[in-house]
Amino acid sequence: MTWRRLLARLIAGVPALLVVTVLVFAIVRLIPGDPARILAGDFATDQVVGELRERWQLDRPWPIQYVTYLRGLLRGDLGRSTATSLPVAADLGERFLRTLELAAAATVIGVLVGGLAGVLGATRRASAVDYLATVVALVGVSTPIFWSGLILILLFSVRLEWLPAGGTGGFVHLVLPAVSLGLFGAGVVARQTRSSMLEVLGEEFVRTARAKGLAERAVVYKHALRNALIPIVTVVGDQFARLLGGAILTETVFSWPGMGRYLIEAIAMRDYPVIQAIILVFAACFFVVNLLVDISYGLVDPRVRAE
Amino acid sequence: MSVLLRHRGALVGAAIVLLLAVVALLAPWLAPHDPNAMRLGENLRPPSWAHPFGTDSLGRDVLSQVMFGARISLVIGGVSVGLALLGGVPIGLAAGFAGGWLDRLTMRLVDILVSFPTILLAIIVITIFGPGLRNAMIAIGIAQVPLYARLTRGAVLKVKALDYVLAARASGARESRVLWRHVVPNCLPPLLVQSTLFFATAILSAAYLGFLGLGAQPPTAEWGTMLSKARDFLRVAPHVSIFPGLTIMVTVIGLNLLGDGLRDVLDPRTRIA
Amino acid sequence: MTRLLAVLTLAVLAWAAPAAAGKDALVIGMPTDVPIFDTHKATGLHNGSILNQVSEPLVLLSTKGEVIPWLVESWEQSKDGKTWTLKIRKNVKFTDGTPVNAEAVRFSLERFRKHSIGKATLAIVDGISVADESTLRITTKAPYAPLINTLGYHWIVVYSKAQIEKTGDDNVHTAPVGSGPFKFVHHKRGQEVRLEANEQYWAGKPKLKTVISRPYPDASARMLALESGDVDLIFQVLPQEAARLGKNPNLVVYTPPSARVIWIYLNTQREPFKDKRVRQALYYAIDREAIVKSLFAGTARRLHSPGPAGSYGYSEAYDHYGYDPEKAKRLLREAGQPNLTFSIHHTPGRYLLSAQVIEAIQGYLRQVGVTMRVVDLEWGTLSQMAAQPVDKSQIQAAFFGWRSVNGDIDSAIQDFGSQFWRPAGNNISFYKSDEFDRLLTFEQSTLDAKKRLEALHRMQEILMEDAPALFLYGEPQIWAARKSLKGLDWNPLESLHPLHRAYFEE
Repeated sequence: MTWRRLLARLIAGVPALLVVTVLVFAIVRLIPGDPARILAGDFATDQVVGELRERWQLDRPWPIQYVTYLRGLLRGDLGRSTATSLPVAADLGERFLRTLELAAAATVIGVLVGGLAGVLGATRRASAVDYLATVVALVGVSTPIFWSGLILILLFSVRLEWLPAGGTGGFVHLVLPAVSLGLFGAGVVARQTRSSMLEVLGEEFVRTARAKGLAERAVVYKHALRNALIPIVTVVGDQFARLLGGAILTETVFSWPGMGRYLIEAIAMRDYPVIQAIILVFAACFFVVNLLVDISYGLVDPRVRAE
Repeated sequence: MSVLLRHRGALVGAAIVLLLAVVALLAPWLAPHDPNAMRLGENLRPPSWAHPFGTDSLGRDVLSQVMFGARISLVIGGVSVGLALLGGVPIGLAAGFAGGWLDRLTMRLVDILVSFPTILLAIIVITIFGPGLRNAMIAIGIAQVPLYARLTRGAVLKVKALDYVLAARASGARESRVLWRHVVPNCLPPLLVQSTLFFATAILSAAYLGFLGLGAQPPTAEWGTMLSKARDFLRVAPHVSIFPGLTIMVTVIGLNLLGDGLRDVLDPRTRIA
Repeated sequence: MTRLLAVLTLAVLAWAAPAAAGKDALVIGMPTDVPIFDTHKATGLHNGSILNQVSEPLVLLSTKGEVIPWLVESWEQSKDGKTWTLKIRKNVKFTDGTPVNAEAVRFSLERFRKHSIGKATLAIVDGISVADESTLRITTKAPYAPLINTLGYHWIVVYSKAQIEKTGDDNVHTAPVGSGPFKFVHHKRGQEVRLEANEQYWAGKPKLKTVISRPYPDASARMLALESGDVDLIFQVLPQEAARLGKNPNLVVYTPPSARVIWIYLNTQREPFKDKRVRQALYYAIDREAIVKSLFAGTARRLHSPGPAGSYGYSEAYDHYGYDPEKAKRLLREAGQPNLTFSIHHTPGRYLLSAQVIEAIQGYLRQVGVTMRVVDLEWGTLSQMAAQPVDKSQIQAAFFGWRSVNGDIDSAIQDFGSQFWRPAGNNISFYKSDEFDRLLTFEQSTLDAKKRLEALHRMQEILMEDAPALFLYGEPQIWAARKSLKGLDWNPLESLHPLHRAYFEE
């Protein structure tokens, strides 16, 4: 993949990000009330409110406010939390890493389990295994994320007492939340893997490979899977993005100190600077993930690479 | 063999959906108790003959609440799908028919918005307008507009490229009439499939919001809201958490099966073999 | 191959083991995280237990209603009642070496009055001055006997002035220095607060080396953490679970007396609660007994007067409201409000099971044709709203916990005097009764114990009859801990006392 193409992709994605900044910017201004007071929090002194009004140019027309806001963002200034009066950026960094940890672990689980299920289903088509895999995938997609979390807690924490129900303190605390979130993604990955694999397995070159006498395993893994990867990669990228959204729920159920739970807490506390910042970070994540998916296309699909 | 599977799946799905619809419509007569009737002395009781799904923390019958929750879910699905259709189809038609820069611009916007997760969009809407079922439904519906627009536009483009349409145009027939006559039947299948699947997503999204306290507010018996209140009592009374969640799962499975089946029948080219 | 497997297993196990809590480290599971480790800026009801291990209040309140001298050794009220002389304990030092003297106390009190959301508790204070190195003088706007109890309020703590000057007023939370039994190590927001022993603690070297507090907002997760050994002590145990936990041979459940009472204030100067009949109707519509028995599994105490039960002067005689929905409906019809709708303001998560209680009340009211709309607000916002004067107040009803600080029913009911309308005092109901005011002045100044008791009774009778608030129940304070953990003590405001005496028995 040429750098030029990468750059083009990057530039193409910027408008999306800008649209989100506009949305986020609009939130505070659309809420009834004085934006300065909303951003400062109900408990701030008049002096603090005045300072904020100055700083974000809140008495000027909207376009100017927006530019000020953008400039602040580029500086890394995300405002101050109304609950703690501390800069949002500091807290957010830590929370973001926690969410990343959870989403990454969940993606790994999802891809492994889902991918395996999908491949098994495709290769042993129409057998009992396939049926089972399909059913499991369907259930995975249809189960509400928070409910699977609650059931896992009930089973593994309450009844069996094998694993803790949340909080932090080590790898053990990551297991249940990651599994709960990951199984959700596994369903989607399984379905997509299976259908892509089936499509590819029916293709010409596979039949040729088989005719040439290559071992079945080589056919499946070396040739079929590689070509089926493109749509699978899309799905995984899509899933990671979706998992970030699902993390909001998983973090709530398992009291995981990530960005998602921070968002819910901020909404309850009407902490608008934090709400704005988190939505932006989520959007930026999607942007980056989409970009990474595009890049991996280039790596996986020889046709694209040849461009 | 797998074709049989598909058909069976669609049948199972249809049966589930039918059951949901019947329960939802007849809830006031089917429910054994008034879902709002509190009996504090009988709270958190496990399933019994009198209360097949047990009672919640305020002594209300969980089964009755679940049944009335079906009504709410029906409304959620209907309103969300309706909004998505109302918003997405005209845009898709406009883009597809107009072509040119309007088409490209619209699709650009659609591409941007399509991958944005519904729940995040819903949270933005709710932050501005406040929590509640109505705002949740509107947010969920609007979040699907881009996808519907894209589907509609895709159908329009497909029609435009059809041989007999080209032929008709070549022979001078009025373009709009030709397109109209063929666009509608071509739009329906993907829209129907999508709507069935989206019905499921809408119910799920509303449940998520309800669980987070941002959707339906108590005492509205939405399934997700029921689960948010049940969390504290997970140990003493797990049944309050199990049954509403199970219902959501079964409903969504049913709708997904039905949607997949419809897709296989109506749109064989995308059939998952 | 098996050796590799064994090594891998050991590695995974070692990696997976949670941070070990040895016998000299106490891990506490609290329902909320400390938002900011600066007691004067703190919010959140439950965090006093942790914050006050670092910075201490002037006196401690025992669960028997006594005031225990702490940083303040002795006190004297002047004859006219408006001047207090407080003697600060000598030879107490902050952990940075500076002395705890009158100036340090004055500085902290002023800081509290500037920043804290609880500053209204000291609204009666006029001036604070230093008489000498260890003597502080406080003047009040009017005679106020319970001032010394109020100084036991856990948000009124003393920080090292030198340290505040070093870090700056905005950053005290990064390195707070107090005189408490433990020193601040770190606060990882959302994860844990870590404290280590202050070996020079003036009341005795702490037996524990470390205290860690972790937030577990989910009640079930909190209990699971205790049962699995992740934490050693938890607060706010669900009443339904208390019995079950008690049966566990390794655990013990504590329910120290709580001075917290739960009321619903009704704004008597606004529709619809201007009419006494409407207020009384609500009393008849709600089955308080059922709430206490079922929701709280009997751990809460039903209030028959502003309470709390057990305080001097408390009388059950004047609560003539049984559960009578028919009577409620009748009263509403008489008052011309057969289909009443009103809003109640509430902070979720602050009081045990408050969301369930509110929902139950909603259900009861619906049965008599009343629609109660619930407005959930963050505590800071609700405090602000409730601090508005009568002409600006937007509150119709508010769900509040109240605490009596001195074991005398006076402190609970005095706030209903008309001179205490918000923002001057705590009369959130804006209730006014001339007879009540007269009795209040009388009982606060009379020395005749018998006449005073009569006055207290009559005042309760008036309040129950007029119902400016619905006095619901006394909230239980439920803690659970490992049986081997000894030396714990509490105040009636649901906070732990200094933990220097706590230790794990072998």
